[in-house]
Amino acid sequence: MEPEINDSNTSSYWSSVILASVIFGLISFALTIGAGYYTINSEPTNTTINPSTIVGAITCLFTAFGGMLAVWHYTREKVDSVVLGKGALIGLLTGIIIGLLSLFLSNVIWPLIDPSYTDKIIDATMRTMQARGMSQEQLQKMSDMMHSGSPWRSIGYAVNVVIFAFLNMITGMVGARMFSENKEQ
Amino acid sequence: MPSITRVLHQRESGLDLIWAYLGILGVTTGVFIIALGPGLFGGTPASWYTSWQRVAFAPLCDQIPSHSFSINGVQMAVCSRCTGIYGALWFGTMIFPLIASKFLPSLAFRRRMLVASMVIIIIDVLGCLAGLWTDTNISRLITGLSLGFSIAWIVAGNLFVATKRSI
Repeated sequence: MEPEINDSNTSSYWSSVILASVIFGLISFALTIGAGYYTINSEPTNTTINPSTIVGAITCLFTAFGGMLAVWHYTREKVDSVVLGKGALIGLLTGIIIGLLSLFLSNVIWPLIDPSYTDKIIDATMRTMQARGMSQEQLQKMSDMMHSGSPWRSIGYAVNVVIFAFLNMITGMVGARMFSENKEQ
Repeated sequence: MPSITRVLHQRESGLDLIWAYLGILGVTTGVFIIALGPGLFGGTPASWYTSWQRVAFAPLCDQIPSHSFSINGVQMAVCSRCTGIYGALWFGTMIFPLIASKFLPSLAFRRRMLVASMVIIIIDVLGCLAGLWTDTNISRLITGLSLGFSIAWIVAGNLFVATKRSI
């Protein structure tokens, strides 16, 4: 019997990738900046249930599901089923674009709109750490590190994009298994 | 008798699967090690905020100190729930393909497990926010483990075993 020709080999997935990337990139950016301003404007507290926690809970792994959305859109608009590898590729590309878009917006565009944002975040973080009982010596050390512009921050951003790519690759694979036509039986 | 072309094609597909598996396993291992945070590499509490591990996970996790475990007195780069997810993803990727030949439920069952684990986490978070109960790092870890294992089960469960009851 001749093998079935899979449509997913020929149909372009870029529209799905870009759609999911833009949606999740913008939401991730908005949540990050929103949580940042909440931190800046709130008094340090030991209460664990507050709006910041809610934002954190929503943000936590939320952006990893861009790959799944892209695969869902692809299977809905273009093809009936997606093989695991194609799902991984769609998720990977989606994750890379989400990571880059989110980083670009929060680290390049937003500081142009509010130049004092980074300093305010650092001050708020120091206040929070002080409220949590960090010693003066540790606070001073932390402040020095923050203002010195640690090179590890750049490495962190690069690793962040890799992690975005990886997590979305995984959810893209899950999406390929979940949204493809059921081939059981 | 199978043709030479078919045998070569099957061998090539097998090698592709092995590389895909090793790739996924390598990345899950790397992500889990990074998620353990700077304490694993001799960091101090003062250096936590400026560590690249924290920066790397900042957009993905709340990183609330009271919701996180510590290593050598230094907070991990992710909360306890995310620690469970990444840990289970790594461990599940390692073991599920190996035990799949002995035990592999249907894809529909694994999908239901994934949805159930997500629902449990949502209920847990909403219940806490509503003040119905207070979760702990252990309960967050357990719910994270269930989600991580469910994802690994779907993604890597039958990489090497294609049964009638699974794709």
